[in-house]
Amino acid sequence: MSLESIPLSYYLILSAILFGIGLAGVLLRKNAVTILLSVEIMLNAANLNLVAFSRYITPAAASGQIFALFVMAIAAAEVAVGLALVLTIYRNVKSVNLDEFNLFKW
Amino acid sequence: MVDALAPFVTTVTPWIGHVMSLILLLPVASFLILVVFGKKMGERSSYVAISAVAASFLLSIIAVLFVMGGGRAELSFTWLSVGDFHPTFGLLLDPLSAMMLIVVTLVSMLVQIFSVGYMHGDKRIGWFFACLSMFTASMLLVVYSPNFAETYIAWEGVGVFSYLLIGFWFEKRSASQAAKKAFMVTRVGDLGFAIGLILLYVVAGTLDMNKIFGMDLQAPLAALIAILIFCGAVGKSAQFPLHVWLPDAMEGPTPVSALIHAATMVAAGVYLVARSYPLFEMGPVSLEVVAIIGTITAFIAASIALTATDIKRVLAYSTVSQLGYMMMGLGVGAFAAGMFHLFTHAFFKALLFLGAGSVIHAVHSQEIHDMGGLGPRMKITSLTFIIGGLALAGVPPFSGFWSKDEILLGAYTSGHTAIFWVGILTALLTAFYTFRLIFIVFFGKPRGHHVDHVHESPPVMSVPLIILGTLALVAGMVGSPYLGHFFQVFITNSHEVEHANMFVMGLSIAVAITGIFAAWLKYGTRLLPSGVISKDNPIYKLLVNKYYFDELYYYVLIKPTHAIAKYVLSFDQKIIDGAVNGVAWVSTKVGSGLRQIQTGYVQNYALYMLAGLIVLIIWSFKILGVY
Amino acid sequence: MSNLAPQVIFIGLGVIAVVSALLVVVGRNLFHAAMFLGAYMLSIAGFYFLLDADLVGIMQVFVYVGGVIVMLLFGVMLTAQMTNVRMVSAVKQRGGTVLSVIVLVALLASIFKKTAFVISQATPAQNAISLVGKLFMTDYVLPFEVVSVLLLAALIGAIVVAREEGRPQ
Repeated sequence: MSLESIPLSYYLILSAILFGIGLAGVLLRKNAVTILLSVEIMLNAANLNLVAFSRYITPAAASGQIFALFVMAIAAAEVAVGLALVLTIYRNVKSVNLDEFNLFKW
Repeated sequence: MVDALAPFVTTVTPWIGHVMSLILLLPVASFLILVVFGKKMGERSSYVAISAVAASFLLSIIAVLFVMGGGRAELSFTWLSVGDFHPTFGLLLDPLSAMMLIVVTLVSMLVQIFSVGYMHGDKRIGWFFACLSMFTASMLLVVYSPNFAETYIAWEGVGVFSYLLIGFWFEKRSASQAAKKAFMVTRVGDLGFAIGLILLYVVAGTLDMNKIFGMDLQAPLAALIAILIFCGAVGKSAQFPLHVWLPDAMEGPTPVSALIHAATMVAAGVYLVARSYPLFEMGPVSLEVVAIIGTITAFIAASIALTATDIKRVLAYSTVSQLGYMMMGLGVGAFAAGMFHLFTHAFFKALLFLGAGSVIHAVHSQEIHDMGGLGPRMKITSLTFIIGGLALAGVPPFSGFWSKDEILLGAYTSGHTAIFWVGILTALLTAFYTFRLIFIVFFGKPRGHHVDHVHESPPVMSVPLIILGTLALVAGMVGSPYLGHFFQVFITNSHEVEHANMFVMGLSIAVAITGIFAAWLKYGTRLLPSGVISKDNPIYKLLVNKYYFDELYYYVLIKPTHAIAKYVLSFDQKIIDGAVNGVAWVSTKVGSGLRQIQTGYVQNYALYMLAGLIVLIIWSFKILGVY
Repeated sequence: MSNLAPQVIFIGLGVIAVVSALLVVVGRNLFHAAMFLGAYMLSIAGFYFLLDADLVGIMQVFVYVGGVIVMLLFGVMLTAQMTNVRMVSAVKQRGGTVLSVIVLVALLASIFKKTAFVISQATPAQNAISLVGKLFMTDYVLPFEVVSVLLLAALIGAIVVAREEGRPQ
């Protein structure tokens, strides 16, 4: 249906851009929750990649979709644990700003 | 002439092999036990060491009886095989080694028994007995050794344990210095020994004594090798000019001094010369060297002993002097006489040292001027000490007389007239300094503040004195004409013995009596004014300063070495240390630079990971040839 | 027209995705950021439908928009003021980050352009839901079970971590 009109590389490049945006967010934001949001952006970008491959290269097998579903499950788990950690940190130090944490500093 | 050293009979009946091994291995086992458990056992360590050495002594008697019955035995096995080099390791039992086994184990046993009293309460007593055991074992191995490589190993073992024992009280700076001095001075001699052995191996292709003695080496070559080996003996037996370490070795515990002087250490040098005697005979010049060195040593040491005021130092110089006699005897061809003197000397010198130990134990001083009038208070000690002194001075029928007389006789009959007269003169000096010591220490009025509560030492110390005193009295008999020169016949396996010469015998008795009389005049009575020998007399000064040997070595050897070492040190400090410190400085700076990237911010680290990922991608592009 | 429609949809969804993602990352208001994330996820779901992956698209809406976003909103509301004055991290690495990200995206894009993917012309599975269901129970049963254990562990872990210590339940 859409194979001719939209080449695979469009999807891939789009997902790369989205992944880059999410990565920049992880590296530049200070709020831990925002960073979790940015991680979700990256995960979704990767998922888009998987589904696109599935459609264009192995349309009959659906294995890429299965991968995407696995990623979603793991992302849900990651969000749950990540938020729990953020809450605990917040409770202990009343802040979720990562630039205030440098206990590993020399 | 020395048939005893003819090619050995190597048939070994099993039981004598076991006996031979056990004599050596028992002290080794004692050492191992005490090294491990010595700390825990404390004073009980002595039981282990003494029972081991006592068992060795009893087995040595069996070995001697076996040898007297005409038996000879050699155990040997190939120690290692490197190319054409197959040194063997073995134990040899013949009259010479059998005689030494008795001397070493007996003296070592008595010294160890004495040590129980003398070392009582020392906190490292376990280690002390461990060292004594291994010291004895090393000496036994020297005695047993049928090849020079093994001798050298055992020789170094003796050196190491003498070092440990002389420096046993290493907390005392002088003790650790003395140990170092003993070790390093003997090392000088050992260097010659090692060169001699290498040369011998190059020439003969073997270090097996049996094979070497059967060869016919050229006289100059044999003489050179023999003199080099003699260098080792000069070091160990404290001969001129390497005698300087022995008096300092007095810093060790007195039983150790007794052991070193009587049986284990200094005897090793004399024994080595005796053991290598066929080699010396191949190059007769070397025997002349031995005789001359021995004579010089005997005279110098005896003269220094005249002025020494430390009881142990007097005895130490007398040992050096007597060792000179032994070398003199060996050098002039009186092989049996030299060994006989070693035999008798072991007993009376051990006696004198243990007696001195007993005295020191009682008055807590080594200065003879702190003593005096001890005779009535320490009857056993003084009586046995006087017996030892009479033996040392060479008064018949005490043991020292017979052996010393034999040596002088050898010198006289072999035509070494100068050596003979120096020997006689030295005998005079010996009698004088010995009785100077005895008169000052045991007679006259008490001096020093400890004298009032002086008392006889406990039985564990006095019993060895009595045993040694008896031996000092009678041991000479085995070599006297009354018993048909039994000792000499045993050692040389030949019945051609020198017959007593009345001139020599009379002369040596006369000088001994003269010396004692002179000492009595000077120190036993007040007949001679004390100022008869001026302290400003140049000869007196020379003797007090021990012929300035230590000073000579200091200026000739130590100072230049220090000077060179100083330059080397500055090179080390500036260049080597500089390089090392430079490397460290660079590392520190790089480290503190790199430390800056450890900010502690997780986001920083994530960015580094990203940068690393990019580098990896680009690198894999390069590898895959994408661009 | 029928040929052009997918392209129009792709471009439209792409613009929504990029813009909403950017707003999540650069926005000042946390609540708004979470909302924009929802929009981003919906646009991704649109892509899934466009790619004939109906099941994944539906799951995207259910799990992400319905679950994850709600959970994140809770997180936002529990931990921070809605309008943070300064959202940028004090860690000074903006230049490096922007450069690195651009280089990474360029590298990825160049890889995608260079690679000759073998495009299959086969028709996609008609009954994707039952196919995926069968695959989960056959070929992928082990990963499936592992993921379920992981989810259980995450559930318990999240409760344990977030629970205030010392207070009995």
